[in-house]
Amino acid sequence: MMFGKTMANARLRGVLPVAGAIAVAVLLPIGWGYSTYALDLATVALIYAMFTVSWDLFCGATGELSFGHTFFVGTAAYATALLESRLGCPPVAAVLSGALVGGLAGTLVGVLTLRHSGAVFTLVTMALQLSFHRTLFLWSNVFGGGEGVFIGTSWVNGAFQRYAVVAILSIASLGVAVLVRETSFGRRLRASGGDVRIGLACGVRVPLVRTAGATLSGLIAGLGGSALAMQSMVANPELASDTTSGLIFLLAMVGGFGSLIGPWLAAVIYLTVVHEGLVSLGSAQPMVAFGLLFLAIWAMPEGVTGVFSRWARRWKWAT
Amino acid sequence: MELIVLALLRAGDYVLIAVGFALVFGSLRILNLMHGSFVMLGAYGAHFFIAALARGHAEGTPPSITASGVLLAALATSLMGWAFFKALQVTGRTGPREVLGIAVAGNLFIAQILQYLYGTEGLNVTPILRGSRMLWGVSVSANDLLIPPTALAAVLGLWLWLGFTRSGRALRAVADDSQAAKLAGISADRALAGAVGIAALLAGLAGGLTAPNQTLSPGMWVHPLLVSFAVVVFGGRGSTWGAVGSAAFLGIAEVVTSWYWSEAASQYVALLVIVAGLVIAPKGLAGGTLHDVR
Repeated sequence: MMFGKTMANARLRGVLPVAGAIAVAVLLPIGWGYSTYALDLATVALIYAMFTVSWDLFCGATGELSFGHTFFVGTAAYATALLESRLGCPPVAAVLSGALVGGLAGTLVGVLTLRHSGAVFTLVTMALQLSFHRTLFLWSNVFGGGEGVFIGTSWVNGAFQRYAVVAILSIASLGVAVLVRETSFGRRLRASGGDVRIGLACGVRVPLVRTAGATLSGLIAGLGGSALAMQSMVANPELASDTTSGLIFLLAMVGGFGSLIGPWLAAVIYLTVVHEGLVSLGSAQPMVAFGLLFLAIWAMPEGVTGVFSRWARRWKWAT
Repeated sequence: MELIVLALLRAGDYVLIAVGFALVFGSLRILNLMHGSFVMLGAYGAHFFIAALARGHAEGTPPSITASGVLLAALATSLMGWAFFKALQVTGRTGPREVLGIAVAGNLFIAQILQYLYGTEGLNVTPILRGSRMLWGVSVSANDLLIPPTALAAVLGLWLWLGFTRSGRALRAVADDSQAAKLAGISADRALAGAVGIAALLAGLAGGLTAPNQTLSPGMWVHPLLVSFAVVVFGGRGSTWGAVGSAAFLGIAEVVTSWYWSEAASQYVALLVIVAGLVIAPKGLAGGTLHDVR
């Protein structure tokens, strides 16, 4: 009886976030009457949700804090743009290849940081992202410098169609992340973030598991990066910048480290409600937005979902 | 000869930046991600204070005013660093992940504030000493000549403070064994906040002194942070002298790279040192370990 209940809970834990995400994604552009502007905004928000959920897929499980997530996003976006514009690759193939490049970047991060955790991991990811960002300007004949690389033809025609494709991809990313968490691979990934010696003693192949986790994270982030390049028809340095990296990091942390649905929702809500709501502030907008994130992370280091689950526990205790 | 002089100046700059970072790292066992922002605040602070102090002077600001502007900026940065860490202690946010998360958020927030106040356009700062001097037959900007002596004084001061004063020895005791230090009646919190304040002072000084050589931009916190990190990776884990040696090495390596290869290539040196250093010698060239670091 107990066992059955736990199984049902586990299944519910997997199904609930995905169902909620579908509802949010469908309802998102309604407020603006499904206008092109609303659809584009919702598309970008759902792509950012792919970034945060892929960040949380690896970092949430292993307990690391990556500050270089745009290394995956940027390499994938530029690969897509270069393949499409310079080599005449079909747009959809360019997006898929971009995602693969993001996955390879993930493998590289996994291999380079095999023996490192904590702040060292954070700084290595930051160093990789910065190397790439700098390369964009130094080799401006290839990467187009500050302007970036422009894309000729989009992968999906029509704002609604693009929104629909991205919504499916974004929800699927969340689904994959939730699924991974519930499988034995996810448990081994979590173990690799704990005491490495105990993990190895229990038969977890820590290096392999970590690299695989980083690759999967890079793959999803890369898919999002390619989709974002296609959405704005350009791969520019902003996609690979440390500010974007920091934004992904902060949204995932504020949403709730390791909760998957928290970071997904945080990205969607931030870009549609907070970011849009502050547009009237003009040039003060980024300052106020980052100030709010700074205060949020100071007030709730465990994130919104962490606060909720603490309240839920207390309530359960009281009744 | 020119190569040697340039390398000397760069090394002095890096020593000044990295020695405070190494101090915090050695005593708190955390990598202070705010260090780059301290350097940036020192530079912007120098701009602010020099402009404020020079208001009464019509033409050309005398060195006394620019020098006090830089010093005030460094002191203000130090106060900010100390207050920031104190606030973390008071609110109980001293867990490794909490500090890291808040520091990253703080970096971006500070960068956005500066961008709002001053824009992304480059700002220029008046140097303390104008013109150029000859050093061993090489023409060097006079302001740059202030950097190596300041770095030397900072290192000597730090060494004397850690070795011979009560508060410096208290910090070393906390770094060695904070439990035992607490039992001996030392306030670990006060010692650690003091260490962050001193690190911020040196970083602010480095920012203010090197500010005339560059145009200030809100993204400038990144490079000093990477330099500091590369220094710690390369060998300055724990000891002040180790940090000085590796900072000097890094400065020289960058100058040599840009001399024989290109300026662009030299921008990768610090990054290469970090990645290669961590992959080839994860325990550091000078021994010591990053194992218990979070």
